[in-house]
Amino acid sequence: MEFEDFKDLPEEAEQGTPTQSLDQRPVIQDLRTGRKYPIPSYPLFIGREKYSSICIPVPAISRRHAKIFEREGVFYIQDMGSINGTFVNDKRILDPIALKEGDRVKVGVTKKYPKGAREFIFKSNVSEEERLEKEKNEERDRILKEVGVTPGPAESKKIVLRHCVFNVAKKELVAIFKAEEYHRVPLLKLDIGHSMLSFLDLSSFRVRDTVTMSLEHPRLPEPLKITLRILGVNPKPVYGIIEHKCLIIKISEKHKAILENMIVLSDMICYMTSRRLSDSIPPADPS
Amino acid sequence: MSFRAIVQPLGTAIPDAPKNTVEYQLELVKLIKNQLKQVKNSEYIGEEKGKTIFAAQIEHSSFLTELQEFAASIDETNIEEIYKGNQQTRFNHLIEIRNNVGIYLPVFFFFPMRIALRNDALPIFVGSTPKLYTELQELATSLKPQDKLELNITSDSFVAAEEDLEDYEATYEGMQHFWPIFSFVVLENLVKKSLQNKLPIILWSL
Repeated sequence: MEFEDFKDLPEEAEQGTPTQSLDQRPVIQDLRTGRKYPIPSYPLFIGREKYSSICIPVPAISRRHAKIFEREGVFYIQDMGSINGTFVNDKRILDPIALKEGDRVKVGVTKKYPKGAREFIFKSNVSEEERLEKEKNEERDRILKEVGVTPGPAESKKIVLRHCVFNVAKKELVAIFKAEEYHRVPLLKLDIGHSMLSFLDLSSFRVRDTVTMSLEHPRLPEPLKITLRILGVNPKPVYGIIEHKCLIIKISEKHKAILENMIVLSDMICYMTSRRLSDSIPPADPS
Repeated sequence: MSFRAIVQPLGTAIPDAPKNTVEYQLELVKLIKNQLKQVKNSEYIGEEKGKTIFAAQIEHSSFLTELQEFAASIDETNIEEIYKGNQQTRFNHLIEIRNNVGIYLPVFFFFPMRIALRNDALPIFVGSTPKLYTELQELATSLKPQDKLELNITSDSFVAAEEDLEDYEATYEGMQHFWPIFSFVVLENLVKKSLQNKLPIILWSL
């Protein structure tokens, strides 16, 4: 594909460009930092200017150095008339050039930066296997739509427990008249099989207190309510943190089913370990 | 765009800020205290007036972003998903601050707060320096910044103009994770100053 005039170059997304989430878009990866920049459906600018999509605050880079854009499903890179040039696979480019998987892009090659002020690699981000799988899923979704069937919750992706938010409130008689005041806490353990749970907090509940825990995530149909009885409190050595060990005394069948079907209970990563907390006091300033 | 950070009492005017900002700061102190009561922590937050202990100025538009992305990758999370609330992270005080604007208080609390001033559209991020320090310690095991990078940080300031950044880049050319390590070293310095002096860190972009 050739562009005869700079006016031909698109500034906006092409009409009819299929919308994809950024996760599915091709990326240009900075080889130095490892950072991946998804290429949106509109042009991505590389430059020293602060509004650039990839801002490189180095004098070797021109204010508007290069841009990457999509046309008819092909990704092109164009030098914007930079002083120190744009190179694709070590060849300086003057006209827009189509990018292929694994192409190396260097910008701002000077004496100080013989390898370029920045080097990027173009990745289409979709392997052939993933592309076929995607096509297969799209075909299946199209057929399901045609026959009026939509995938149910069982088919939806599961939520990882550590991505949920946990709030607790003391369950008191007064709660019948007044809304319980929940506050967020980090969960340490959840063992549904043994009906055990533990969480950290800065304030201490008393042993035998009854506490309501609300488990929330944007993809859950409603917050899951679990009633707990505090079995033990264990103060940590720093910052007044207290570990609360609890027994799960009540969870409705409906919420239990949601918990088991929609949430991956393994893969729990604690927010912090006591060892980390002990390490978390920096040495005194010698000055 | 330039990144600025200072370690100083909240009651002291922020350099280059308009005069009425002090009123906002005092209003903010009140709101922060209320919020801290709710998380059961009513410790000192360094609100009195006093001098600036440490100031940093870096001419880098996305100073924290690359460190945040590195932390998110360690945690197998995605920054956009975290901002949308679909994912939670161990590094919440590091990652949830957006656009390099916010305040870190020298008191411990588990989750960052967002405090909206009456007339402001966007709530202000309020994090905890002790918690941020634990997150940096956790990151250090993967990033291993020790002895890798020597920055010209004095006892009370760190200034990196575009030319300085270019020199650092040239000096450490080929270093893996250069920008995350750079941000780590500067941020760790700010956090240590904050904890040692029990003063907040105020961050903003110009």
